[in-house]
Amino acid sequence: MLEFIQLEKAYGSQPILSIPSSRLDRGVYWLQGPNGSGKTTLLRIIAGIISFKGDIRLEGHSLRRDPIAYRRAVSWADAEPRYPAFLTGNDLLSFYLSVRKAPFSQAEQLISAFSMAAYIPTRIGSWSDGMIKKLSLVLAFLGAPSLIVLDEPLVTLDIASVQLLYEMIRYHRGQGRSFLFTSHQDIVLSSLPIERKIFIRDQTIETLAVA
Amino acid sequence: MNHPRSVLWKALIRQYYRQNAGFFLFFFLFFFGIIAPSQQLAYHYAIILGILHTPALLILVLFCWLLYAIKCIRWIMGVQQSPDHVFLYVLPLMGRIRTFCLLLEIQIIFFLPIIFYATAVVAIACIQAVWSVALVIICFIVWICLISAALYWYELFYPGRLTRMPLLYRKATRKKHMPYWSFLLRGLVTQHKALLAGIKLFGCGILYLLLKIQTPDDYDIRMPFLVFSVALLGHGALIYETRRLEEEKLLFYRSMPVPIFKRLLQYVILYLLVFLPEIITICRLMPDHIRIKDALGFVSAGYSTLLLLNSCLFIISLQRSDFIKLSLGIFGILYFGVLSDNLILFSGLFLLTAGSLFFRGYCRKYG
Repeated sequence: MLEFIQLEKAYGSQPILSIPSSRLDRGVYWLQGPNGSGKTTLLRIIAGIISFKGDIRLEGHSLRRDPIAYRRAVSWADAEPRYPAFLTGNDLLSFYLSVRKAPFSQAEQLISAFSMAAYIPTRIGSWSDGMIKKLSLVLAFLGAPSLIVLDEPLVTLDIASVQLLYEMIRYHRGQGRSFLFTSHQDIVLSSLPIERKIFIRDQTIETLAVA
Repeated sequence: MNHPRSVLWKALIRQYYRQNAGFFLFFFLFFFGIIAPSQQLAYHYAIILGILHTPALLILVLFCWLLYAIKCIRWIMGVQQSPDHVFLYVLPLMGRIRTFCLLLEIQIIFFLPIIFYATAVVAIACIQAVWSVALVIICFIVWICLISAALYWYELFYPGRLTRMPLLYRKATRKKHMPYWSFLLRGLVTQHKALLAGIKLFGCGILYLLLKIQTPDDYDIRMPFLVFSVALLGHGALIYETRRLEEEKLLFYRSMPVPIFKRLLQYVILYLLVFLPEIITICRLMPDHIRIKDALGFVSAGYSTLLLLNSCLFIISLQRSDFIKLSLGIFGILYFGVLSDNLILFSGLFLLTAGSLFFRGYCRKYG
């Protein structure tokens, strides 16, 4: 599903990641590592947001040679999402729906599931962090990505939303989608179908089967 | 003033007029600033007579007032739903009728600018015995104030129901297609309105004044262009703020499946719209005060400079000092273009450079 080819990333002269060659099959992956180990950087590279050396392939689409098809196959939610305060939730929804060519009914279901209908037409500037986080998750699930990358998806979510997110991950995994997420919070392994854990050590990744 | 009223005065009315000061100033200048003081009365009297005797104009005026009412409703609804104003939901404890009266009072204060003008129209209608128009205007104002207050009241007593109405929600989401450039434009209009208005007023004003004095016998565009290039330098601040907005709050766009040509198109459209007032000003002065070739040079030089500055920000870091140095360098080159009478050629080079820098910079920066 996801293939790293001689991937390297450095900030200035400080190398952060150096992944010679690695491949992840479809599944749900929990990316772990201490603060500053490069988890967010790796997720942002996979999401196509920051530059790097080497290449990544997702479902055979190279980020370098076929960036549109690659980006269509991946979707991403940031750890601390930030959106312009003057936009409304509807503005972003309609933008994502048109770019990702997703049906309106999909957004409607997600908005309803996360109980966001009351405030989705209002300006994001008046929202709480939890509301913004929910919006970023809804946007990440729009369209038909084959890999959904979630950076600290549990931060600022209430208990009901966390359970809903778990349910959604289970449902979408059943539909053949893959997930790669980071979380410093404890996750009860039985609540999510996590196939493997990925550790970032010495600038590279190691995968471990979940016991 | 009792407590609820004084709290609402601070939380709603003062905040509304403060936030919309630019909006009111613009309309005040538009209606009262363009006519000499001695002719104000005659001017407005003529407008009011037009409203009284031309049904189409009356409908247009009522429509504009309705738009203003919608603006007020949207603003209050937004405030009511914001976490900062959650305390407003204790207002119903005052009782249904008292709450309604208080909200009606607020709506009337919001509507005061229109009520003042409508009073003048109604007074003249009564003097001229145009009773039907006077009645229509009075009923319209009363209806708008009552409906608006009723909507605020409903939102207070039944929070979220209005915005949860599936029909409203579905329409609001479905009908609007939001292109990316509109986010950037709204960023400028909402977050940097003073800067934008200042640059536009200065740019268009200086162009108008300096070109207006040009005559066929005494024609020299070097000085107007030099001053115009200062206004272009001001646009650099807008471009810088736009890029900062993208880096900080619109990060998600990079991960979207959008071809690079379409990404470039967003900036092409954005800066065309930003530069439109200058283009209109130059076109209006053509050919009496500026020759067609020079007008083309001004427009192409200005527009290509904006695109070039934008593209440069994909290559260099977002350090303000670096950007200022770069801007000064670009204006130096541009002024050499005007001195050598090759403005259009330089603009073409700027456009080509802007395009290639964008493709190179965007790919290098975002993988």
